Amino acid sequence: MPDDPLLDIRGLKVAFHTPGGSVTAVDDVSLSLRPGQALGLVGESGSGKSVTALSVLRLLPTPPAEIQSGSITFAGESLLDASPRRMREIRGGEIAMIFQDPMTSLNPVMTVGEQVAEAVRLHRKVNRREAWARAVAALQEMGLRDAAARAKDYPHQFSGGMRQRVMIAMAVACDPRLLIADEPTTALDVTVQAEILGLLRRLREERGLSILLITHDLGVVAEFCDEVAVMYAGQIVERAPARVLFESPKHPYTRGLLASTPDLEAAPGESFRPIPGSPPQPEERSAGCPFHPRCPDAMTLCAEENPESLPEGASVVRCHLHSDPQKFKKGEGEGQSME
Amino acid sequence: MIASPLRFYPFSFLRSRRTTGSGLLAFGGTLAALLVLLAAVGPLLSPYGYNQQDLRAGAQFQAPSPAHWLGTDDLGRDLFTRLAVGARVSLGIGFGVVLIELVVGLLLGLLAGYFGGRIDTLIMRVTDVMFAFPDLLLAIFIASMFTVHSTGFTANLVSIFVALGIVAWPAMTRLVRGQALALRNREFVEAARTLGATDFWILSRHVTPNLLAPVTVALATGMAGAILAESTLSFLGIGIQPPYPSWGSMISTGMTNIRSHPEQALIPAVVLALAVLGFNFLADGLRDRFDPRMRGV
Repeated sequence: MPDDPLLDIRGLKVAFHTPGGSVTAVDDVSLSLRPGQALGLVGESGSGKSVTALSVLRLLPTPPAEIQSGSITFAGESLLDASPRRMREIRGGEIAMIFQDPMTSLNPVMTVGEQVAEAVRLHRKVNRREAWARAVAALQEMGLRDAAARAKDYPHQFSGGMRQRVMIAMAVACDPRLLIADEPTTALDVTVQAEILGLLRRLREERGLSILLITHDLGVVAEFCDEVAVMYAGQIVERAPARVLFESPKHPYTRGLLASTPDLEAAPGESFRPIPGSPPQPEERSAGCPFHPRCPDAMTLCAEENPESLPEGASVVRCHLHSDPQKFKKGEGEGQSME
Repeated sequence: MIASPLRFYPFSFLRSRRTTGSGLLAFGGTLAALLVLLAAVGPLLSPYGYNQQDLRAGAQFQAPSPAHWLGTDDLGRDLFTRLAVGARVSLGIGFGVVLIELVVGLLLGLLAGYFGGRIDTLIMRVTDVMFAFPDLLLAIFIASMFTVHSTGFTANLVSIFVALGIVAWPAMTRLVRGQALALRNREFVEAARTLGATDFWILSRHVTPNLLAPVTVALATGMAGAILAESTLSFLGIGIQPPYPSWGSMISTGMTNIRSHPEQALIPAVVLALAVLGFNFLADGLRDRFDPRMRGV
């Protein structure tokens, strides 16, 4: 391959040990992300998107969480084997993260300038004055008007969109190569969403920043991402280039998701069809494909055996409908499948 | 004409916390400042020593006069001088106890709340045991153990620090632990972790600054409590030992002559009440002022 992946997750399995027993939150997840690429990780609440992201930064609370198997490789380095000290260098220095709610993600008793300067000082050996100057420059670059004066303000004095710009300034202050954005626009107005996505796109183009965008908003994914991975009940059920996924969704869950997105051009009452039922609680997941109880195309096999992820065209699909043993040998797939 | 609903706020004074805070802060702050002033310059204004007795006939129980601003006590000592030196004792003990409370409470509370696990269990069980004792009885027990053997004023002071500090730290530890427990799961702490911050960095720059408001309030309240507790111990005779003056022992001495000379007990009692009130008001005022969401609004 011409581009080695920047981030490569293989067969990741994460369980949470609770007093009521162990539950698997992420099951056999494989992803890869090339430099400069934007990958959308889509799924409902509880599907394991954020757990996957936090595993990459090794920030899951252990216990109760445990990464049971799989590997996470970043720029050729195994993150699951990295020392705590090395992980701290990586966090913020190479991989940064922004969160959904920019109000609660900022420290209410520190000025925004101090917080960005702190992010600088965590990874760069500079004095306070220099860190402050860099913080102001970063805020300016993120589109904060009158940054030198506003850096002295507290988070509550900013609007939601401006706070998210501050968060992004903190995250990219030390020039990471990968940005994990966990629902970065969910808490924002639609117009502000577009501005923030525009800012992220600009960072991608100007800095070659790779972005792992976690969201449940398919519109955001369609607008922003090159590739999409759809998660359901801890598994990636389908991954494909964004265009392919939207034009020819293969997994019944993906089709259901797309059908449940309101279509403004359709007649009233027919604009969207929700998927009946709700996702299984982790402790209730039964044998077979986790989607089979809600799947319109479920077969007997679906209740018995969980399908493998297999390539089909540009996509990788985890569904018995797409695992014709004539065309694909079982067990093949996963690794060679991505492009 | 009907008043516009936008303008009609019959209970607006209840909602306007900033104004309320300023009033409390000003009142409490003034009382506390007067107390500090009394402690600092009071003894210098007086030509008398705090234990300078006048046993000549008629020199005891004098009424206030230009020579003795608040009169004299049963041994002919100047009441104002004793009150002012007593303020030094009260404030000194207050600050000392609050310092012990702050250092121990912050350290143990942060350890317990932020790291959790066994260390949390251990620290919290110890505070539970401490809470199982009645505060005052415990303080009396410890004070009486040490005070009996303490020789000299410094040893006397230290024994009271220890007695009141031992009683005060568990509450502060619990307060800090509760705050740290809530703060460690806040998103900005998580965000700091994603930026590569160490636990020490997070504790010193994110957790501690965010719990300073309730801790400051607790310190001001603790100051009031310590002053009151010291007076209680001294009133019972196991606090500051004679001839050093303390408001508590002055009230105690005054009690013996309460029928003939009620002002002997009343004057130190009123000063004590004002001091406690002042620090409590200061606490409430500070709480409102330190809340960053109230800043610059």
